[in-house]
Amino acid sequence: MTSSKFNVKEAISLVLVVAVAHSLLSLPKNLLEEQKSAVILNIIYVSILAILFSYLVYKLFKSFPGKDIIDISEFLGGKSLKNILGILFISYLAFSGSILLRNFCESIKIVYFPNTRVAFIIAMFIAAIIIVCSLDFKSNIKTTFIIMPIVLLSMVFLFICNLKNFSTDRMFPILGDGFTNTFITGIGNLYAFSGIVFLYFLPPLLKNPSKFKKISLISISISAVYIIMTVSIILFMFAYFVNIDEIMPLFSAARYIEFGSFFQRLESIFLLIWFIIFACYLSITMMYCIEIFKKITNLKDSKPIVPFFGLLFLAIALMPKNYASSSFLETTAYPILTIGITFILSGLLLLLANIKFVKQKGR
Amino acid sequence: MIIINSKLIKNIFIILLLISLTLGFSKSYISYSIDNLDFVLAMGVDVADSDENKLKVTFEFSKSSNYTPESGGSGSDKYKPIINTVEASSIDSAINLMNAHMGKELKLSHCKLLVFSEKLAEKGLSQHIYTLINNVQIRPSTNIIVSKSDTQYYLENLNPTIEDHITVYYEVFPNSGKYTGYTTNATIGDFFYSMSTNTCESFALLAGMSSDQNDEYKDINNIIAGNSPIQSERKAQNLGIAVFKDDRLEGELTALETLSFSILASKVNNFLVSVPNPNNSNDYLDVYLFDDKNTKIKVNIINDTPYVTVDVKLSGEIGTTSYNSDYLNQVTLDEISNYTASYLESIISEFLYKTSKQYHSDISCIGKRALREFTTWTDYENYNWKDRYRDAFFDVNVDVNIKSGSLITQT
Repeated sequence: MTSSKFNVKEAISLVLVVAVAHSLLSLPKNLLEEQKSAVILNIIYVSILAILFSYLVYKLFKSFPGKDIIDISEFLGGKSLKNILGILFISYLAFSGSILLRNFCESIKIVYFPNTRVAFIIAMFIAAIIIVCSLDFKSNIKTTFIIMPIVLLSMVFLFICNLKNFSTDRMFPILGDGFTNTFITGIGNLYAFSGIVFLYFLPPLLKNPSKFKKISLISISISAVYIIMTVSIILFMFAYFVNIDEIMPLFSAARYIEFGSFFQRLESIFLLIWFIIFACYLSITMMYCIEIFKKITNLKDSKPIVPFFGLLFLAIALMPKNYASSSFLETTAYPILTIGITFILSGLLLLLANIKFVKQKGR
Repeated sequence: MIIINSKLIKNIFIILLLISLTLGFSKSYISYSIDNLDFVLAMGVDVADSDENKLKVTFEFSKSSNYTPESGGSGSDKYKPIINTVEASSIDSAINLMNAHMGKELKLSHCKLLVFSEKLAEKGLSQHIYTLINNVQIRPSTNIIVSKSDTQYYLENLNPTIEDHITVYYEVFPNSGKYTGYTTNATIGDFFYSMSTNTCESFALLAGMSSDQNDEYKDINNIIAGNSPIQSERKAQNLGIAVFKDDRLEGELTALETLSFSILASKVNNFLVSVPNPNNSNDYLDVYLFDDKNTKIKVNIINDTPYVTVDVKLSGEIGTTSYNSDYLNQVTLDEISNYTASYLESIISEFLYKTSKQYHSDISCIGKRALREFTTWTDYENYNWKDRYRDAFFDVNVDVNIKSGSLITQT
């Protein structure tokens, strides 16, 4: 992991890829379902909290330069805590990546491959990410860095092209389901910024660790703008997502893009771009799992365990009985796990480690 | 002892993977092969003749040879629709039966028109709309039509008289509303949206067959599909709007009422109206109007009653020129502007009150504008806009600025 270091832009795209991958499926739909017309207000509010949290993360990491959360857990609770936390992060990342993979494949099966078993589509992705993970981490990040601007531009394009279908009246009633739902229980929507989890492992990977603050703040801010944009597209176009569940809301929005009778059916181009970025997200997630595993087991070479992790992802993705189960896991279990592990547990751990650090320093 | 090279294992693994993926995806590839597909251009859904609870589904196909360079644009071989009908319990089972009959799979991704009969629309379209929108092949931009006559008969008579390519014609004709306002582009995407929210009601394009005798036709106010002064080789007419309350057909709007709807929805770019000539009360002037700005609709809830203010801003030029016309005179222009404005105010008000008091159906999506009057969704839902729309009051203000005549400004 330490053999290849990232620059600022690559690190930002690494954090962004999580928000992008999740926005392709249920994230905007779930946010809209929970917040209704107040979704933009809620996301702005949650974005401010996420930026503050990422700043806090930067502050807490300041005492441990060049160390990631696994190293810090070892400092706090020794090897046992390091192993427990490592396994917990591997499980979380493998679970979130695999379930998202399953749902993405279920969606593209419905759209493009009606007669192909979903296992084949998943296997195609798994084969791709095994090959990618067998290569250097750096090459993976470089690919993500190249694809990311295309994805962001495609989303801006989607937003602009659908302007004619927008109705800004749909952001009213401004408070949606009320103040409590928007500002108190709505804090739970912090899970939209699950990309913060990758920040915990960034410090040792950075070419210039002093840029960690810049990376944290910029990546979360761009994620916020991106999420607001995706949610706005859905809110201004399809207010009925409050009541109706559709597999890929952004895909539905892409189907509305038409320039006369000459340019139609542009959704295929969008889907192609989303395929690539989704593969990037999966390979980064798997790469992280492998690197954490390497760290807790003191393995020197990770290549032999790549197929094992590929099979693990495949197995988890195939576990849900059907789309209903995998969708439930994505919309219910994933947000809870994200809030629990990424925000509460990791935040507490960093805080306790800092207290211990200050105490040790005091002695 | 055989030494197995790790590179060899890797290559074998890659080959096996490629073979298995090829096999896995071949089924989907075959199903999308053009040889195995029949493209549906339009679909009609009607109540079955034999059983009221069944559907009569009509499919319109086109021969692929119609699109070859030899036939395209020559005009020698006139388009002949291939229309097949099947009775079944649902749209999906009708498609299934037709698949078996045609020996190919029906593909709806190029279906431009969905025609429902008036009889079926009166029973409710909810189930059919949900079924169709659930089909990934149906595009949200597919036009939705309610036919006053049998859907099969309608589709048989919808042949374009000038256009050779029916797909082009099907795509273009609903857009004529942009320069006439007498019809409108009603899509299944919008229909589904309106049906599933509590801010709007749905509408569809109205179609009918021209009858030999137009007894009811008296003036422009009564023009509607199936009752118009148009005489043409093509019997199918598309004029007006079918108004829905929830998923049921509630009534019809004439061409002129459709124009009012189009002005409110800012769906018309330019249109023509005939207003009395200020210089000659027996004469009419044709005025071309242009939708300069989107119509502003504001809703205030006063004493629990919706009070709707509509502001329309139009500019125009006079098309009619006769002896002794003076379109450089500001007084004349102002007079014509005022006539036009009051005429439009009256037809738009009539349209709004008709949808409100007679049909109780907010097809203009005024409920969307009422949203900002509420703080929370619970408040809005408790207000029950769809029911309160019938109590609404309307204040329509039309500002018309007639700028001049066209090429000739003074005679």
